[in-house]
Amino acid sequence: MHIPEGFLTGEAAAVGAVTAALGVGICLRGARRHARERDLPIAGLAAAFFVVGEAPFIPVTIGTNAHLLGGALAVALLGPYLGALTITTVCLIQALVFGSGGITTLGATITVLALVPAFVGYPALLALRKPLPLPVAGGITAGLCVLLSAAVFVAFMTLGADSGIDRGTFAGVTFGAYAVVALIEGVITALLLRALLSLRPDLVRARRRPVPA
Amino acid sequence: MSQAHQQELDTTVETPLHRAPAECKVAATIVFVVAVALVPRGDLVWPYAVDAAILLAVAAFARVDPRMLGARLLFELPFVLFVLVLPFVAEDGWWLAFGIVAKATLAVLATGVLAWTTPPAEILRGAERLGLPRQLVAIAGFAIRYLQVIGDELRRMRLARVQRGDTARWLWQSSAATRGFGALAVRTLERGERVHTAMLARGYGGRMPALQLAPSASPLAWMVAAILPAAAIAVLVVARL
Repeated sequence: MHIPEGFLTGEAAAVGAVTAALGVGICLRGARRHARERDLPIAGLAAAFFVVGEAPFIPVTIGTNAHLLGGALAVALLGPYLGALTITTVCLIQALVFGSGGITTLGATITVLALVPAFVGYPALLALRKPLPLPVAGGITAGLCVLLSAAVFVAFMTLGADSGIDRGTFAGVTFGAYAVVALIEGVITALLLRALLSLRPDLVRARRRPVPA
Repeated sequence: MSQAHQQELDTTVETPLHRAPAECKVAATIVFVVAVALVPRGDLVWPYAVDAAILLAVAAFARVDPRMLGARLLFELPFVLFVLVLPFVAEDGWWLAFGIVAKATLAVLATGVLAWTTPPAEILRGAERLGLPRQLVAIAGFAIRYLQVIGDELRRMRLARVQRGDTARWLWQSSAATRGFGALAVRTLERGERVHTAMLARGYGGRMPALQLAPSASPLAWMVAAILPAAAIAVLVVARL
């Protein structure tokens, strides 16, 4: 979902940039307040892990590649602020070093991949983990995040596109493909969370938060 | 920064472009890509052709390995397939698709030239000098330094799995692969903890020492670096008229 150059109109790219700047600003401030200083190397290593994890492109359907988006996993491991900053960094590295995803579209990419999990996924995760075991809650959150990200992606793609893109068809194609991605993402996130909880539960930040009564 | 983890970028080529200050190259790349992206939609071919010619001239000057640019374009291929849906859902879709593919290709090539002339750690230093927030620089610094290590670990685990006869093809056969991936996640995060302990042992006091040993770019370097984006902006202005 790293949006390539040229996919967005100027308006959509500008809206994405402003949204991303605001959201990342909030996350920077929040991380300064809440994150422990020893979390920074862990966040960096997690970012490297996500870059590596994104490398195997498994084609699902035309134009859609299944790989770990990782947003929900990142916020579950590192909390909403540092998790979002980690995914933001991944997007930056992908765009500037590996040429995956455009530079003018970076704002929209960050909004879709980092801010949706942080500001929607994390509250959803905290709500879901009350009735459900954490890996299941994380998996459902990851699936939800992917679908919501796809919705935001469709909104960005059609924003300001006056050349008469058929929104219905486009949304249908996108959602059809991302339903599969959401399923895979949910399963992988749940499995990874289960592995982490069984070996090093203290590394999962969402677990440190007391379950809201 | 450690060079040991950046084998893939080891190259014997060195041109003046390799020695240019990183922040100039990063800024020039960003402005060039933005200028290309702002070319209006419609039946225009020449702006992309001119931009491509300028970029290829720079690439030739930097003696970029064409194979490396080709590999990057392969990376782009899935998106191109996606774009081919457009002619069927939008009127004027062929021109729309062409514009998108042209912009994406030019952006991929431009960042390719940047990556060829500038090691990742230098790109990061350039971005830091251009005002990237400190926390993002710190996270990206760790990420870039350990990318190769973690990638190698993943490769070793995959090799070990294949040697033991696991040749999964389909999603429902992937249990060993996902379990390995989980193990890699645990190892990666534990490595992060060890890195932090090692930093404390070396006297880390909550702040990274300044990365900026090289002096900041001279006005002359900025002026030379401005040639590429200035040309792209000129093309953009003419195309918008």
